[in-house]
Amino acid sequence: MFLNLVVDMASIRVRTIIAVVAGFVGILMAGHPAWAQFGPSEPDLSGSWLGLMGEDVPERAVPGPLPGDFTGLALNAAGKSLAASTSMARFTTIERQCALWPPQYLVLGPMPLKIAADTDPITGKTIAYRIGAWEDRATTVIWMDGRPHPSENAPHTKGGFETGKWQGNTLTTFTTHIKAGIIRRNGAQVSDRATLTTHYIINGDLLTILMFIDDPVYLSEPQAFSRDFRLINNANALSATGPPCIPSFEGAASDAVAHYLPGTNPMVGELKKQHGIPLEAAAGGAETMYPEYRKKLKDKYVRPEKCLSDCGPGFGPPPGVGPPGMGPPGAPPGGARGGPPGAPPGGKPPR
Amino acid sequence: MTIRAIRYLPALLCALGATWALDCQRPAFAQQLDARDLGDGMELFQIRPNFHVLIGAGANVAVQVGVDGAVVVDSGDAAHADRLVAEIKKLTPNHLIRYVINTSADADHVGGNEKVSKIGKTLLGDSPFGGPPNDGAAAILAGGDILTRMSNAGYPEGAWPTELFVQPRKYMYLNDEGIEVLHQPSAHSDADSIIFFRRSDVVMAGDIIDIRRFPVIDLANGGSINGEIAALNRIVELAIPSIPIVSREAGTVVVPSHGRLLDQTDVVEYRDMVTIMRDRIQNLMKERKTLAQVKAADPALGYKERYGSDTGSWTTDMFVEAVFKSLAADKSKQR
Repeated sequence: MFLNLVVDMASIRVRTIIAVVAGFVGILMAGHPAWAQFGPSEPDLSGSWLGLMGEDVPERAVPGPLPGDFTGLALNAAGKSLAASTSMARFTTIERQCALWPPQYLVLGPMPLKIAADTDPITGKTIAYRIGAWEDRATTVIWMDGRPHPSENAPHTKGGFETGKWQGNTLTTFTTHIKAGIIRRNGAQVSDRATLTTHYIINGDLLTILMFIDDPVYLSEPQAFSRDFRLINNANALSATGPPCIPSFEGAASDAVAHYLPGTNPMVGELKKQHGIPLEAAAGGAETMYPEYRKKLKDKYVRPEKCLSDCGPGFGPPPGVGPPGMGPPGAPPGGARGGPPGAPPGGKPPR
Repeated sequence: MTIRAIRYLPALLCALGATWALDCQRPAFAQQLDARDLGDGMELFQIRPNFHVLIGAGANVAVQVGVDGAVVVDSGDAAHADRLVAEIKKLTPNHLIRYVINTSADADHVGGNEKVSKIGKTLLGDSPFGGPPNDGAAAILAGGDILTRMSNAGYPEGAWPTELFVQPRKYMYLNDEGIEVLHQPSAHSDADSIIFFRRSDVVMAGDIIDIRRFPVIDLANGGSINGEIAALNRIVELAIPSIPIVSREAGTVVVPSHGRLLDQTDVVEYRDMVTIMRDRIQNLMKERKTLAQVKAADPALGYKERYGSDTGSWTTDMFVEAVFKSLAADKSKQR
């Protein structure tokens, strides 16, 4: 009897010690979530991703898209009207200078991506990916924990509200609660009712981001954009936050709203002037996105005798030719969008 | 049974400890804006520790709570008054509502005035004529000519404003913050006020902004398009975005009369739209176009698809007509 009691007490002590040790191990592990990451692995989006660019440099970086060039955009009648009435001078007001581009700028702009993962300390699972900000784009958070999207009364933020799920090597996300903003840096835009479906496709050290923008207000069908990135080894090469932005007075009163009255935007004819593209094609629309449109355009397109801009290497424009204000500092007054330094004046037309 | 429970007690305590430790390690950004679905289309947002916004009870309603007693901005429509009172009671357990401030005289802003004020208590003592004003209920504050409008509309006396002002700016200091009530003459109507909570950094915009549609320009009650644009510019000036740290989602919260919560960027977008609409119609008028010709020119193309409607109480057609008539009235005043 006594012996049994001693054995029982000893058993209780051993179990208690085991329980205490297990508990403390639990606490220790809580501070080291990496220990818990032994489950089935899924791809990792985190890292520093460098944007790969080629012939899209003028579109994504400098000098930017040609004014009045809305080709390849699925704008409906309202979208075309809004794009044609938008003056980029509106972005010179104090209130607009630091307002940032919307989250779709991820695939529109030239900047690299710094992506970090936030993990659950218990399970080690990824709660969210954070795509770091740049000087003209806010932080984007991709929630991976299955949380629902907020109600329609919740604020629309600079980064939007994005949730995602892995399917193989592709992270597919859905973004709501974005602000109204551009889809091309020349005035084409979508409304605050737009949503984004984005596929982050990982293939080795390459990342392709394929984004579809749906906007019931300004687009007649989903607009697709894509962009490629390469993982770079130095994880600290990029910053996760953009630099501060300090707006300054640029001559526009804070209550000034720059815009073009219907039919008065002088930039609308720029594509016709530079490349002979008919106005109806330059205005964009879903039809202009597809190859069949070339047949329709065939009889209306008149190839310019000389290339005036964007002529490619060795095909620079003649001095003083090109849209005003498009050239680098010190360029001739007519601008110099096309040829590289030293290109022969009045270069040949592209093939 | 007891011994078994004791056996696992240390593990349980440790587990609780671990949970606490884990909770402390949650990333800060995981904290989203606190929102509660109240059912029946009503939703409650806690946008600051002591500041709540109730959406869906008519016009948006704000409740600022604190040691001095609650300040309520707008009281929703009459149909939701009882429900609104029940929700406000939950936010203010001692029911110490001191003020109901109206941003507008419209029915969806003042419909619950009487019921909401009655659960509160005025800061004022007895009046020279006997008991305290408004039978001791919370004061109802409004700018402009709301009293005439409400009495003409047949509202019961208990719903009428008890404190009126006509100066551009009235201010108070309650619950450790300055509260500015800024009267905007001739905007949506002649009775619009912007309420600015300075420490909470929240602007109640009233009917000056209705993010769902074009702003209602109530010409019959003193509204005007240029007054509306002036009011929007004032809100743009009051609101501050997250600058210079632009990558942070922060800044002044602007609460419109209806629809989602806004920031300065949203207000700028709305202000730009209203200004451009005014400019387009004004330009057509300079070309001596009649109202019918202006409407036929479709000046709202590009915006009606977002803010317009062909049906309901405020259509695109009505907005264009109101802007046209407002500009025509301004022109005739200048002559």
